[in-house]
Amino acid sequence: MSTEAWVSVDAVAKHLSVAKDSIYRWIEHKRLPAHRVGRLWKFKLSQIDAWVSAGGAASTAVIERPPPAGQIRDRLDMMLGAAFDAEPVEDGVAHPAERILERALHTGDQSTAHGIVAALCVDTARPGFSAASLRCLGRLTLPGSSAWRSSVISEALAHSDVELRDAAVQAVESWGDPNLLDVLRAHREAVPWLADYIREVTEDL
Amino acid sequence: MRDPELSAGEIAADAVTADLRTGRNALSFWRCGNAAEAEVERVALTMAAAGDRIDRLDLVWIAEDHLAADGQACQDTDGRTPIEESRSLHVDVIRLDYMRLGSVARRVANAIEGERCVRFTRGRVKRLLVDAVRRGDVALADLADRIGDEVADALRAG
Repeated sequence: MSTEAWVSVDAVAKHLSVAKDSIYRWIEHKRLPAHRVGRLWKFKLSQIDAWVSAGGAASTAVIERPPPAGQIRDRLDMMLGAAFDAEPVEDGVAHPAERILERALHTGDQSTAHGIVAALCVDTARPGFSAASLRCLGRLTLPGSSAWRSSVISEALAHSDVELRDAAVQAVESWGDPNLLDVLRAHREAVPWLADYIREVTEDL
Repeated sequence: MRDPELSAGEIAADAVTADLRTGRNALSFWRCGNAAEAEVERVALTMAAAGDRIDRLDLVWIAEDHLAADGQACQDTDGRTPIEESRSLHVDVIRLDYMRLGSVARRVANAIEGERCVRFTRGRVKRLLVDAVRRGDVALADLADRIGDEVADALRAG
């Protein structure tokens, strides 16, 4: 007995001859049968066919609402993950994730966007991903308010992962925002080389 | 960066894949003479001037005879930097395979353990660039736009 294979969003879009955005919209608004596997959506074409036959994709007067925060976060997460997989963040070298974050911060409701970006930059379960995100966020010209940046940095500095704390200091250094000096001064760093870096950045600013 | 789940002496795979990125099975190095502060600063300037943006810089130095002892093949190549006099200081470690890349990673880890490494803060990198432009070692026009703009602002501010 063979088991039907799971297929990607690309395959479903091709199967139905529609754009991928339609698939994402139908998942959200029309209950297209889809299953989360990690960061990806997976589908069974038999379920898709049954849903279409039952009128699932039929046109109705649906008022388009902005996608919910969870969906925006998932997509941003996926895009950043792909960018970091393609190339690591290197000091002094521009990275595509900078543009992804910039667009995310300027899309839709600002407080939702800032909340999502902050959550990804201090995701305690994935410090490596968060450190890379925070390093790229640090390269944007003063994103968000000083208070928002301060809270992101404070949270990152409180994390047990040294790479994430290092990324937080680098972001402060890149922004050159003297308002964040108090956050650095208040932090008690146990790792000697990072403590030295914080001291030097504090002096520089 | 040390992964708490790795023991001392183990080299994080992430460090190898992120910090020792090879191209055509080669790794790029800059010669820095006797690793005196001025020599290291010259290499920092050489690398910073080749970047897209002003950023902090981490440098690690490894003795060439250690690379030779590991059987590494080195080849002098012109380095990509607008600091003309430094271009000839560039060397590629070539014909790297899995084992030889591992040897380089071990040498880098040992250098960090032995404190043969230095971090230049963003502020220090910027001062190096500003001083180099002031001395005429590099022209503003030869720097990436973002770097050039920032250095020009600093020069105007005195």
